[in-house]
Amino acid sequence: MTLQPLILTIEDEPAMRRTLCVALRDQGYATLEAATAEDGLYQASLRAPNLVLLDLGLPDRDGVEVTRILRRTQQVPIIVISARDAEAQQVEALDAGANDYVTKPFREAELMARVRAALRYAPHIAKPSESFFNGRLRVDFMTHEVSLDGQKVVLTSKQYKLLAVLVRQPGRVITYRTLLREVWGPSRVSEVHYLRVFMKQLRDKLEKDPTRPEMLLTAQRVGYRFKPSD
Amino acid sequence: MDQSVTHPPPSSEEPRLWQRVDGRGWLTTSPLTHYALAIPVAAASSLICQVITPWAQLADFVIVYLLGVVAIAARCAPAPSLFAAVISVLSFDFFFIPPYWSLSAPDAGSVLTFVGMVVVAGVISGLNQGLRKQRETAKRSEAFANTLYGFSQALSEVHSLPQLSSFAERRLAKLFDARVHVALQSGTSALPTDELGLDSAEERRLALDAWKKGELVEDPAVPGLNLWLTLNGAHRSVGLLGLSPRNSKRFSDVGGRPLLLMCAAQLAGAVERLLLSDATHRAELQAETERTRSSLLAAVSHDLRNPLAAILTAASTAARADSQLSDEVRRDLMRTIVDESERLNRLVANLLSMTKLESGELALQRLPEEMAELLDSAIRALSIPNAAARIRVHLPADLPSVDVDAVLVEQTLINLLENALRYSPTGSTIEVEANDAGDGGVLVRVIDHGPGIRLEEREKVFEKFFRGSGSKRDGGAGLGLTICRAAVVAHRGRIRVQETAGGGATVEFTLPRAILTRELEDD
Repeated sequence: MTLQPLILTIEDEPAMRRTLCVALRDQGYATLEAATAEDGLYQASLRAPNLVLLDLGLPDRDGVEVTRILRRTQQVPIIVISARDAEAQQVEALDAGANDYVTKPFREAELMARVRAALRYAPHIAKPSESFFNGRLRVDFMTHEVSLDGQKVVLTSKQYKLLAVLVRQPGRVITYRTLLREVWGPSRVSEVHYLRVFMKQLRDKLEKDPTRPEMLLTAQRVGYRFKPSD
Repeated sequence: MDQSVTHPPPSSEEPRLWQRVDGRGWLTTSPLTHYALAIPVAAASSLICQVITPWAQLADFVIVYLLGVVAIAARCAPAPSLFAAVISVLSFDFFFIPPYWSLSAPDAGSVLTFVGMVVVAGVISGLNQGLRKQRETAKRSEAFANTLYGFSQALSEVHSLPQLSSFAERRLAKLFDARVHVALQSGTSALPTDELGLDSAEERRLALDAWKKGELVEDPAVPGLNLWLTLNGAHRSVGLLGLSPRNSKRFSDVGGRPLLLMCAAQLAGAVERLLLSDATHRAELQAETERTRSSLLAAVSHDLRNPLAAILTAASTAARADSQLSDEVRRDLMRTIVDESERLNRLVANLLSMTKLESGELALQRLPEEMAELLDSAIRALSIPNAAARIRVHLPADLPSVDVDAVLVEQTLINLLENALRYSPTGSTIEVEANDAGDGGVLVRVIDHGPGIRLEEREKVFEKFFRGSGSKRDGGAGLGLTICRAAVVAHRGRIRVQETAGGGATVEFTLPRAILTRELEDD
């Protein structure tokens, strides 16, 4: 019998916490529950879960801070759950090291897709590799060569950098700020229009239908994510 | 030649610009070579006369020399022309007045010839110079006017104050090849003089000096921005402009201070226009939100209660301990709960947009966004099954980015698409297209092939809680289109309903296009 992935849910609202755990167990995951940040951090250090679902509106501690503390010691993927009008907090949590986010209210299917993705790509993120290949797209981080379905794709240096930052961390939401800093440097972190334009160029080169991207996905108002496959 | 005549001293005032520029043009066309021209021309005339000697008389020779002098006078300034006249007269005398091959004492006839040639040379070159001057002046003033026109044209396409100042800075810096700093007043507050964004105390002193005096102040001793002027609108001063030319010659070539002053006037006008439209816009928004707020309460209590009631009933039935319900019925109840929750969710999303709109334009978080991305996430957010397959998106490859609050525009698109899908026959497609409207906006169209909206209802559908005669019972609160309009208006766009060719409704609205404040960097 293979070991079930262990998922820790840190959420103060009992109804939400219970429902989340029921849904997760239904999908075959083992679950842990915590109602406070303190308890959550304690259980995380004790049980080393494979994934943490973290509500950002905890009573005893700021969710962003919890993310930071967790990241200091663990590479565990973190999915933050937040209210609809708390994008600023979401972005902060992502910059602090969270992998992904869902916005309340969400459908069960949406959450499960994120959970599956986070668990699947966690090893890729933890261990940097020399190249990426998903059957269609190949990115060689050493030679900076990119090919799609065996055809070489010519990218400008900035286009490549942008693609590489996303592909190195598959599934993970990378915020505008982080992308701009990595590609254009710290003085350009507010020039979101660079990203819009370059993402459009990348999609034109890599997506079957650039208006319905399948790999280079938008996380509205937050950033972009690379989805390697289904 | 004489620089002091053609170049006014640098301190001379603005209206001298034309003469100075003209003087320069003049200067470059009368160097020594123009004097030298007299010799080959006189030689050629002499040669021609020599050739035609057998058939010609003395008077014909005069004509030949005169033609040569005229040729020079037509191209050169008076001095070289007169010089040419003298050389020609001397040649004529030397070669053709007996005794030949020597300069003879002038008799009455040759004095007349001499005077005639000099007068002709003088008159023609004078006339010609006048013409050339006029042409130069016309060319200069055309360039000047073009520059100004281009500048004011570009300013009129900018829709926000922060964009305006950075845009004007870039444009003026390029035009004058100078470092430029623009500080504008925002809202009704006075210019935040300690927040001018200047590092140097001397620059600040000069800027404040200009602000107090309300006119142009220059101090060449100040390093950096040493020329400051106040941007004076029709009613009051609206900002400050500081400038330090990298190259003073180029600065005056382009148009110097006169052009700078006119550009500043244009800029001040643009600032005033934006401040004014800000104020009007805020008032409109205020009135709109007042109306919204009053009817919102009524709607909320009514429309939140309906789905809630359905959820409560279905859930309590399914949860009854002693229930004998079949699995199928139970699943049906659950389905109701999910559907009604979606409806509630939609309503809450709209309410959230509404509160956002209520807090006015300041709450809008505008960023440059791509229509493709906004549409993609709107389509993903639709709760109608199979929605994506029924929507066709047509976007030109060179569609400009829009400068919008993504949440509001996404909500607008969701509402329009849900309406379109809900009111169209199952299986029919919804068309979405966007185009550069050319007037600083992007025009978006959501086209369906449903029953359409009756002419007399096309305005009313945007009113709160209006349910069209063709509305369905399952729909929302009648808030959807209201929010669409409020969101579009908050972005200073327009929205309207039209008839789709061949039947159906087309909703079209405009969004402001983003103006890139910085060039793209790709190396």
